[in-house]
Amino acid sequence: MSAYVVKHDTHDSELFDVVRLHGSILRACMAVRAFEGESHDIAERVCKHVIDWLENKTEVSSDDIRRICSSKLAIYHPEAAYMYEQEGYIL
Amino acid sequence: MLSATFDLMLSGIILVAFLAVLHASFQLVASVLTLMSGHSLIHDQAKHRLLTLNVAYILGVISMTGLIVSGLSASAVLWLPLEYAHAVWLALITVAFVVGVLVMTIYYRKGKGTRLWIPRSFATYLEDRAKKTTNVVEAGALGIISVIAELPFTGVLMAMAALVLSSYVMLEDFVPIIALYCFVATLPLMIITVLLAGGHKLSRIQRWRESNKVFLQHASGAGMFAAAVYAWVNFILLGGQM
Repeated sequence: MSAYVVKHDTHDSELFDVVRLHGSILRACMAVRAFEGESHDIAERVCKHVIDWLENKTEVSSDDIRRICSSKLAIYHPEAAYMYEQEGYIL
Repeated sequence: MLSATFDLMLSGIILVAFLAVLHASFQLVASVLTLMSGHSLIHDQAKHRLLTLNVAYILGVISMTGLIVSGLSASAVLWLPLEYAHAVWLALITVAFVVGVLVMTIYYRKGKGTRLWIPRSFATYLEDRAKKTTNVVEAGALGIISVIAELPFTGVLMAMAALVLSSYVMLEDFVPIIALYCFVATLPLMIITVLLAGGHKLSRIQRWRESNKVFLQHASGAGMFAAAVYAWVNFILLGGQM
């Protein structure tokens, strides 16, 4: 799996970074007071879903990643999914 | 005579309180606090960190708001001749109308979330600062910067409050009334902090802000019009007989 992600604002393309995605999900979970272990577990599961989805793709947009990620995160923690969706839309 | 003076002063205080309520309905400082709270919660000792940073942020907002209102009041007392007060009121009323129209039409950006109509570079800067804030000094400074960032919308309210103070309130009553203004203007921040400290989820607060943003936008805009009309009738048509 070596998909490239096109950024929403700059249109720059970069290799998909699962660690970064894991960190974003972790932050969203902990911002709604999920326990640390639970947050790591959820982040791992969601990352796995996203990796599976990326399997046969070479280039996707960061919005695609965000949409897929928040829909999967909503299964495990709807409040965290809401905060994840709001990132960049609060101010 | 004493009663008439007291009535004038009371009207002045009520008007200042109304302007403070209007000030409180503007959302930039609340958005920055929401962002900062979200980042406080992901660290160790989240509750302690959340409380200390939020209190420092609120103190920063209060001190900057107080400084601006008291500075403008002092300037009006010292340097504004009585014969120019009319012209200054006229200018402020015009600005209040323009800001009211802008708030009604473009205060929030279209789409999801609570994105405000401020330059994106400035919003990005505030977002980055909110994320990177780790100690009380930075939080206080962020509060100060947020008040400055919101000045295009709230500046006219603070100027009107300062002019009312300088015209209708005795000098020795300035401090409690400015304190009242600052308290009312920062009440939403205090409520957010108390709710978060009490265990409420940030997502619930943000969801409330998002679902009520149109109401808040129209309330702010309509309030701005009401303040402008009130000032026009009282200070221009009636010549200051509140």
